Amino acid sequence: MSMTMSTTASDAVARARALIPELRERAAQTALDRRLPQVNIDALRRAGALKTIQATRNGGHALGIRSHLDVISALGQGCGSTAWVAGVVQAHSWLLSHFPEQGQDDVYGANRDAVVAAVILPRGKAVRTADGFRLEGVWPFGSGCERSDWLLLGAMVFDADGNEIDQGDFIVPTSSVTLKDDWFVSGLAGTGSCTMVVDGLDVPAHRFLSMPGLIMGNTPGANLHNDDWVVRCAPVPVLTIALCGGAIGIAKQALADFPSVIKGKTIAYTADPQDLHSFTHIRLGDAASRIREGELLLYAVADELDATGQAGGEVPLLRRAEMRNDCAVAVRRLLEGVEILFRESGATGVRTSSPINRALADIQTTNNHGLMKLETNQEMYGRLLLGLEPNTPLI
Amino acid sequence: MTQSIDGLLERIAAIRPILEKNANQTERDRRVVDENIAALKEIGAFKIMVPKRYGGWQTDIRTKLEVSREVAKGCGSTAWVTALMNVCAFFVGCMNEQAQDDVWGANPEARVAGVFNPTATSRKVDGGIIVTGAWNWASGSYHADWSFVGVPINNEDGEFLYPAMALIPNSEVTIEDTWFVSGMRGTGSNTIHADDVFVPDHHLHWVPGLLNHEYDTPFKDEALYRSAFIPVAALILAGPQLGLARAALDYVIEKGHKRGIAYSEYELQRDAPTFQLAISKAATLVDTAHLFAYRAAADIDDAAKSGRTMTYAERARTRNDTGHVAESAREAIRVLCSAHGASSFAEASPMQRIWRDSEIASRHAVVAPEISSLIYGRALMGFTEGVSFLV
Repeated sequence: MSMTMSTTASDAVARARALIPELRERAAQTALDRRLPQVNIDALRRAGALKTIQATRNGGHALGIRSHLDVISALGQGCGSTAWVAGVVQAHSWLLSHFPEQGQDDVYGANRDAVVAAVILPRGKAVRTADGFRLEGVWPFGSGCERSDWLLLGAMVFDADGNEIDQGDFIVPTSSVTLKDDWFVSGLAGTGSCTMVVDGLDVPAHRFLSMPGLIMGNTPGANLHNDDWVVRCAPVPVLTIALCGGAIGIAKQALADFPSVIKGKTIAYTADPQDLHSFTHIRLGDAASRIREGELLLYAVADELDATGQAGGEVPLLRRAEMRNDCAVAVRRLLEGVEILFRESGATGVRTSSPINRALADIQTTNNHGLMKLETNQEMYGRLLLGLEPNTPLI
Repeated sequence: MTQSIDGLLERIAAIRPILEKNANQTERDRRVVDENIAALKEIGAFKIMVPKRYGGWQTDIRTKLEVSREVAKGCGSTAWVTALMNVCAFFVGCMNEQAQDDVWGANPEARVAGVFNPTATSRKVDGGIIVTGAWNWASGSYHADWSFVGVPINNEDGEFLYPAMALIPNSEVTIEDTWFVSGMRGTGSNTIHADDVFVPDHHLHWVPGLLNHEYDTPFKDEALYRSAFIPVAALILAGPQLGLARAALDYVIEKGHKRGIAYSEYELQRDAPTFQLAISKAATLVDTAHLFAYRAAADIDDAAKSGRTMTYAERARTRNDTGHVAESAREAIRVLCSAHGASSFAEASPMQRIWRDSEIASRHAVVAPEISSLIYGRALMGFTEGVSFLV
């Protein structure tokens, strides 16, 4: 396919949906292998499913956050782990748009299909040198790192005298980083979110992006993409919602799978067929409402992000906090919905082969991501509603 | 005829029709109908916290909760006022002998109402203090002989030293009618005023001593008056919730055999799984409220009987238990209102009064679960102070 042909939103979503059967077929094995099979990455690349919010100049589709949710949610209907990796890889492709021009070209100049994995949180340490930085650190939870070409690693930045001067993310080639095989988990098991270690690596200055600068809307790369409004969407909400799309698909698929899971079952020690029992109807209605609520909330955030991106990108602090909080609330609702389905699926549901069992584990793990922690988000949001200073810069 | 504590709960059940009959008037008057107070006095409901030395029954906190619960089945406001006057009897039982004699010596049936908050000024004089103050939300003040109120104690130069609780005869206070509320309307929890009233030293108890269970009473072998002060003061506020929730559950179950569900195929509520589930959920919440309330009462009573001082963590748990009791009972009542249907909110239905009473009572500052669970969470992490001194 020609890379210059523009991709419409409906094309992108249709091509992602077409992957559902094969992803679903490999989902159980993917979890057992604890990493995405290369064939999944290849399929995502062929379908363009990693490029929805990548800038046009960098070979992406620059479609917007609603389309991002559509694509990632579709992947989630096939495989939760694949959707998670695709969601974050898309977020990183978006983040790349803000780096200095040379940094963007280093990644996408020769390979417009480059895959970027990351740990954005500044867990590492970087010291300013004459022409760049010296980076070191240990970054757990590098989803998809084994299948990536490049990594974004977050670090606190110090001057030569040890004074903290900045924080942000560094582009490094995956080949220069040690990847540990330590992803042994119960949910999103196939994401290969292993620990990444850098002992000491020189990184040129054009491969650094300041996080405070990004949040303030002041980045060296944004002006390279004046026709791509998605680049101007509020950064923290974009990076947050990119963790959520898969959960929509996981929950909707669990809802779709539920009738076949209980088909032909009677409620134990009674003569009642489960699918004819009003308790089942009530619980199913409850689960579906919660899943619908989570989906609606996430799409509301996506639409607002798209609208504000189109309007130039300014979003007041309180609205950004609301969007971050909404994402966490939405994932909690999706989790609650799947929890109900899991409980109603009875003893059958606990088998590792049960799609609802895997859905629950995947969505629980999504819910446990630090950015999704409901209390932290509610506290942040509540403080701002009261007119207090925010207790985190990540808004 | 001499009666004993035995059978008190049954005697309260026997006067429930009086409480129910007067419930609307109690609300309209915004004070408990005198007939209720007289009936409760007649059966000894105000004796449970009075020392045996004055003819009282000197029981324990578990009994106190059960009395509140039984009264609340008939009328929430009456239960609240009863609970508050009875806890003030416990407070007075912790005071020095002279103070107790002044309250009960001549009149063993004397009742006391109180407010902790030291919203007053005072100055030191020979043999006591002169107090001027206004205390909000003095539940029971209409039917009490004494007020037990918070006052600041200052030195000769007027510098604040510590808070104390002061006993003042009700003949020396005035009641300002300020209780206009949507639930627990009948408690008459008005503002009481004292203007330049002399309080002798022996009618004062210093609050830091109360908080540390260092009571002035010389009768150290009386277990009840070794009970932990704040745990008692908090937990008894949840007692009425038990009766409100239980009464709602009984009522909705009874009506479920006769009422249908509008615009559905269910001719009787009892046949609808939604109703069955709601009843089951509500009953579980009512049980939860009881289990937590009685567990907390046992914590207090066992420590008092063995003469042991409750640790900070134990006291913090009692506060948290109190909040959880109120929250569980309140949620049960909400579930029951929905299951019973729109009729819950007819003025003629007891459900709407129970609902309003529970909602209001669960917002008392010492009951509300938010601060209490914060105190408990901190205590579980090893903190022994902070957030509130009422632990």
